[in-house]
Amino acid sequence: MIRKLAFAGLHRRWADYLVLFSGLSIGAAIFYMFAALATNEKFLKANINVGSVTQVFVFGLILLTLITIVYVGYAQSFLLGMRYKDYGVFLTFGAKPRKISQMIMLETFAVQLGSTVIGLFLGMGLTKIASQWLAIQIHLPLTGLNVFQLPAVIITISLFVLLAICSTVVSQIIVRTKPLQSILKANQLTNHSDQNFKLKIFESITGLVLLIIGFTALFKIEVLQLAAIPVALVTISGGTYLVVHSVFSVIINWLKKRNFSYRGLRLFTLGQLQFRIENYTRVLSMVTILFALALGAIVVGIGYHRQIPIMSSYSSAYSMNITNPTKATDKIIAKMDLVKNVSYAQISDQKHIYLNQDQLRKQPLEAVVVPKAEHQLSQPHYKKIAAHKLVGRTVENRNLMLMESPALRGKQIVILPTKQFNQLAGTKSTLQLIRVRNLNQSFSKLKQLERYSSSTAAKQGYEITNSYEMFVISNTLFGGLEFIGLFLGIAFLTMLASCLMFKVLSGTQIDRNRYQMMMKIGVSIKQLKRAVAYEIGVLFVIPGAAGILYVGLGLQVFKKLMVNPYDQWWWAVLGFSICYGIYYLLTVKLYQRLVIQTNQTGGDKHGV
Amino acid sequence: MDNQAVVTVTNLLKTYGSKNSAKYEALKGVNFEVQSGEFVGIMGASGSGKTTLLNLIATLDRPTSGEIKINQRSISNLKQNELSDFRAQELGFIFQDFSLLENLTAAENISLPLTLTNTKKAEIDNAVIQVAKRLSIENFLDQYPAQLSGGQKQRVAAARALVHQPKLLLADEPTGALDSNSARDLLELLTEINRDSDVSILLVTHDPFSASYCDRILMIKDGVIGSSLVREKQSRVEFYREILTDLGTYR
Repeated sequence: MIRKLAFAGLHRRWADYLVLFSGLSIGAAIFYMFAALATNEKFLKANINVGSVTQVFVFGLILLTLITIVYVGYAQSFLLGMRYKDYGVFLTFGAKPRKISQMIMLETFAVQLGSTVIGLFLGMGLTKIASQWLAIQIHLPLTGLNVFQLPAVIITISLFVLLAICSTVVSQIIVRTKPLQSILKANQLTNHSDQNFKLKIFESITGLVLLIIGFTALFKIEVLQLAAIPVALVTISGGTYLVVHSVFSVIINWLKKRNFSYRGLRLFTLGQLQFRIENYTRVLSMVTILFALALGAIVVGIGYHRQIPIMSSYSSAYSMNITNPTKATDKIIAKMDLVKNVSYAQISDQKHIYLNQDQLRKQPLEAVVVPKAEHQLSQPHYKKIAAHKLVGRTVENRNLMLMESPALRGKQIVILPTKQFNQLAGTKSTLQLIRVRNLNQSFSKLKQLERYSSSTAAKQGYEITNSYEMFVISNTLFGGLEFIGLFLGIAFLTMLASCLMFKVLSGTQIDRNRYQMMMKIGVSIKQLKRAVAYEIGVLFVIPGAAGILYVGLGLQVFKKLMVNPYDQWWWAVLGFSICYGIYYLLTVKLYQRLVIQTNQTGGDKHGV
Repeated sequence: MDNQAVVTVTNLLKTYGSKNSAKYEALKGVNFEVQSGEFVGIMGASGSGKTTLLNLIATLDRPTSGEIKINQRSISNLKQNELSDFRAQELGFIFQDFSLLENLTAAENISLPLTLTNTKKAEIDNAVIQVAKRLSIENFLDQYPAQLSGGQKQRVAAARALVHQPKLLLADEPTGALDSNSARDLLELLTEINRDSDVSILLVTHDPFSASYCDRILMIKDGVIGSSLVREKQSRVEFYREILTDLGTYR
């Protein structure tokens, strides 16, 4: 009987349960994705050559666990809100509190564990797709990445079982200890006691001061070293909380007194917002920080993506060297975006390589200007090499030698005027040197060319002959970081947006009455839908805008670490905002459906 | 009192249930009129169809057949948006549960119907103060509903229903959640408003005491109007007795 009662709700409210189920599944999936990486030591060691990578993951895992707890908490309150009236009815029928507890347990476990299992499969699928897609994007062959990672499965299931137990106990306590009436009212009473204006001003100033301290700590990261990070995290989180809590309610109170508010549903929307911001301060500040972290991770990840080719370009003035170009290589090169494409005729005998002096004068070989340390973060500059520097034991000679085919290496370079050069007998060869505009974009073409140029087997040791080879090596070194940045960013985004979505949706039970009432006094459905869109829009925009601002400020830190971190960061912001926007639209649609019922059923019997 | 009908209901029929399920006839042909300035009660046991009737007149639901005219205007053909405008301009509502928005102050709650019609703020403020004075609630305009007693809340709700000067006030068991003193206050207030400012009131109730404040009572049973009682020159107490007698025999 209990089972029947517990699952009777499922049948009637399948749409509500679908929201709950899909939300929790996404939560479990993201957690699994992350855990699958974090527990895969082989993968981390193989792909990320950074000592602190384990700490990064531990930090990330703790953060994600905290978010998951909050997330499940909201999901559970959504479930409880949905079933609360039913439980009350059962209690008035004379159901023993113990029976109600059993029902809560059954329902909570069914919903949470069911969605965890679905989430696990979803997570495996996502891991597969995300890793393949990212690996292609960053030209990084990820080795040892398992889609099925047993420890991760165990961690995910244990966490969610633990959370199911906790939420069952908490729900049981709520239902059993408090009288029904007080819970229903507790949801409706808003806390209007702290409308004290002076207190709000004090709060906003304290918040702003904390924010300033936080960002100053970030800017002075060279002085404070690693201590800057925890200082910034604490002060920025605290500051955000205080500012959201005070500034917005001051603004809303101010707006409410203006003529602006007395049109259409504005007054109603502002009232709703004020009510929400009081209740949403925690979730809004959490989402702000997460938004900043996620976007920051993506921007930095992309930053590294741009960084690697630039760093690599310092290793050599040329991206690729081809000895004796053929029609096949010409065909590939024709399709590439080059900034330099030069060919040199050479004639070699037993001990010498002869070069044409006039040709060298017309198109001199180039070398990278070795920059001062602080300028190493922009595209390299090149200088022309005087022909005589190529002869003898010089750096320039060595660089040229590296680009020659293995057979020619170690021979002496002799430079001759055209006339003498043309009269020489010996093996003729051509050395073609190209420089691409962007190593990232030309990667696949360079890879094709590599097959035509001297075979890798013939190479000696770890000598890097051109910037393409440096790029390949750097990619394996730093590509892992880039991968983690992008992966973390996407995981955090999904998680934080669903967090906000749940918090908003868990309020539908109370909001339904308000919207029904508005409809009765003559607000059209269209107006109400628009009001919902505005209201939720503000709730999404606050953390979004603040998050973007934070990233904008936080990127200052990376000015010292990478090539202009602001270069094209708007693209990351745009892409991120689009994903975030999709969540917004989804929330609005769901909310409108849950709150605004269009077809009224009349009569007392229907409970209207 | 000019003899213009504010509400005219003709052969009103409302059936619930789809083609496949059992049908339920909530209203089976209802006819009546409410004259301008009249205070009419609709009484009936639960399930008799009185809430259905109120919802139809309030344009919250559409009739299966039959016609409703409010201010000589048929509301059956109005579109969704026209219905909303109509509700916002012509009707005032008072509900049993007050239906105040707890996130707005009393004054802001009262302003709502006017903001919907985009009235200027100065005019709104003026209208709110006028109506608040009339209902003696000017002292707690800045308070939130949670800080008010039941009787005060219902007064605020009444002020919201009247602030835009509607032609017709629909009250659905307005005293249902009030103690007897507050209920008496509210009913006297409604009578006063009805007498002084030409607002017709349609009161739905199953409580004979509330009904005794009306000029005329329509008894509804099983989806039809069974009988009607007219107060005429009787005192409220006499009318109350008549209602009780009628209820005793009617059932």
